[in-house]
Amino acid sequence: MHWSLLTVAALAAGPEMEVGGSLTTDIRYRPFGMEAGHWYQDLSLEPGFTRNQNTLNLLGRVRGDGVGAVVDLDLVYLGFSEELAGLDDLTRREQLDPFRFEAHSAYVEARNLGLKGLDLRFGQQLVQFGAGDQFNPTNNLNADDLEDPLRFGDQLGNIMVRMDYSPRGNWTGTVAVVPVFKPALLPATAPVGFASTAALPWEEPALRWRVHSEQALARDALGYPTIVATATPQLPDPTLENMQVGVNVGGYVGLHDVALSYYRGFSDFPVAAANHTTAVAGQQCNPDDPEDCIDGLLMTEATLVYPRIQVLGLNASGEIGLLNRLTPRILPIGYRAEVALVFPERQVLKITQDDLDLGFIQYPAGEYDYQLDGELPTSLSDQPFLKWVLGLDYSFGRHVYLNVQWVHGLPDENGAGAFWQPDQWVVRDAGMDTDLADTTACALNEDGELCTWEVSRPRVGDYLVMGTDLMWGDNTLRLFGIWDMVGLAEEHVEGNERVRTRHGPLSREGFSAVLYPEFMHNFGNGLELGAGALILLGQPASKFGDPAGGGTQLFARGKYSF
Amino acid sequence: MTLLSALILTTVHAGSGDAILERMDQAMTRGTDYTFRYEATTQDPGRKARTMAFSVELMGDRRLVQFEAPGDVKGTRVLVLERNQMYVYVPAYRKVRRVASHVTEQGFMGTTFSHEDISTARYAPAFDAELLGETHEVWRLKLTPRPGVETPYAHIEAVIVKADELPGEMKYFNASGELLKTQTFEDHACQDEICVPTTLKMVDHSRGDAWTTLACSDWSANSGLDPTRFSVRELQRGQ
Repeated sequence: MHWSLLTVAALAAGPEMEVGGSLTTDIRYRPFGMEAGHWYQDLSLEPGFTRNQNTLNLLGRVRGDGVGAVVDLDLVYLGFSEELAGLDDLTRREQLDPFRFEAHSAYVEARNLGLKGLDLRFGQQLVQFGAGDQFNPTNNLNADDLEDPLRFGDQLGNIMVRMDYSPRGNWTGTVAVVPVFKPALLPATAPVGFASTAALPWEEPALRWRVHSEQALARDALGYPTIVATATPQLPDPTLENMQVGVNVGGYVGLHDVALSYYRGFSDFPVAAANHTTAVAGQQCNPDDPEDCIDGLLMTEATLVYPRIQVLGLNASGEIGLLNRLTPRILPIGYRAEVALVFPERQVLKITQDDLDLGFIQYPAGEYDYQLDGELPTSLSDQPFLKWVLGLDYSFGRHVYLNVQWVHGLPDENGAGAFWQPDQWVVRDAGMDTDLADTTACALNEDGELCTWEVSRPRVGDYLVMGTDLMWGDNTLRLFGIWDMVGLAEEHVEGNERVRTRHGPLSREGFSAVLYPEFMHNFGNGLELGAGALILLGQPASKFGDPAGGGTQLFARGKYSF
Repeated sequence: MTLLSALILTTVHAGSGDAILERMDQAMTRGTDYTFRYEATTQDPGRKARTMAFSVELMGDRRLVQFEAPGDVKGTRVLVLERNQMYVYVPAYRKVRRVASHVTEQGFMGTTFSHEDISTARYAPAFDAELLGETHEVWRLKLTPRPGVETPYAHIEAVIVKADELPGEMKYFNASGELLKTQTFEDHACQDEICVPTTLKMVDHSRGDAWTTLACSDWSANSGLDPTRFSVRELQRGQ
């Protein structure tokens, strides 16, 4: 109410108003299908149009004497009808022509609030920390918006209170409080990740090997394969204790921008907190192979939670003139450095089941016997870990711009387990190295160590990110790529020992990359058209070859800004 | 300073290039602050002319440029704190970024003005000036960068109008002596003691004589701009 009065008062005083926006059309096509899952839970992605979207963005700003308000909204027409359940749905416009709103910003602000340089902003907003380009591990107040892979680096607006204070023009202190947590928005293909039942989400290897062998026994000997039926995220309760807080102090020293930040809140990507398994009997056979039958399914319902984290951040950007000292023809090179030291809270996982009657093996209802001396398995350890971005950029004359970054940790990667901590890597795939008899023995002996193979990769990966803009006339050719620089590790049973083999980033097994070429033409007066491809390369167990990423897509888009 | 020493200094420097350049700087920054609204037209050979509208606020070496049209640049804001300290806010990214020196040779928002050109408010701190000649109407100076000053121009030939001590023309040369650009400052207009050129034209000879004109539709001086507008913080406002 108070804020409304402030705004109205400003309007009466004759505020400056600014209105603008854009209309964007975006059409995408997946040229190749991607297989995922099994015939009893087929999650494959089919070729076809994946996006057929019109977005109207409206941006309005009002600025009065000491107060202001901003609204930045997207109205998105999705272009695909909802799934039609019957003839009635054909009579409903909302089924045939669905749309949604996205509010990037909708806030009011007061400036010099009782103290010169003290501003208060209240409402839906984006608070951006970090010096990196698109990759900002210190930027945690807003959740990541990964719904559209071509808009990587976007974040979701959230309602918060932000206070800035600049006692001097060069330095600003910012405190932001987010009352209610909002999780990351994932791509539409994220549920394809359910196909990865072998990617067991806890750290204790012996327990993983044992469960792998039990799942293999259930599938191969008893006809009960395991599937992930549901994954239910549980958001933190909207309590005072769960409010997120971010603090940032930034300014410049000479020609270098520097900032220190602190965040206390939650990771916006979930980890597993509970798995509950139910046996559902029901014989069915592979439609393509009548000999391939199962007697039922072990259906796992996963519960996901958002772990508490604290993040200390350091940001610096500016330019380095080392080569410039050798020859003035080489201008200083731009640099960006962003380092986040993350302190996560340990998250454990509880595994339970209903009565599982699998023929000659029965498991009573209750909690799984982890054999961890009374401890629960760990889905996220409390060991602190680092994420960072180091980037350089340079322009070669008027026509070529080059940006290179080393990124240690993408937004969805959390936990200790960098390339120098191979024992803590995350499992991406697994299976049995043994025949059915030995697998059965491993399962019954509750020890899968000498049966199970696993493919793993760092929990926090390392990536070389390169982008270049080639500009001529009103045209821009953008070539952008991300290359996984660590690859994979494969661990197999050989004789009586487990042997680990590394597959580097240049190997067929370990190679994984994103290529993103786009050609854009600016027609002037606000109209721009572009076309390109998002090409995801790598084996299914790799970072970018994972079908949950949605696969390769071709796109064409146009934007008129006004 | 005694009257005698002041007189000696005046005598020594009155006709020197450096003193004239200082006077040009003073004439260009006589107001405490300035606000301009420009229509920019850029014409590349063989292409359709493109137009933009933006406002510029100046205070000393600092300037804030806010783009108003066309839509794809609308809302973009550029802050120049010093010749080599510049920030840009691009609405599409909703983020403030420092502009590195290496982009200074690129056209500023597609115009024939470079970032370097628009970020130089005063020349005397960056250039030594040699008087090449004079007529009744103008002085002709040769400006060469002072030691330690990074600029894409090896020297500048400036014509300064004696009547109001504003620049009339500047020619920018590279190290090979090649003429890169020619800038003209026309339609000088005055409000009280403060005069400004209201039509600027930059011809880029290295771009096939592509040109940009900045036609000032409205300007004011000494309107009491808040110095805090010229801060990175100000760019972050309105995100």
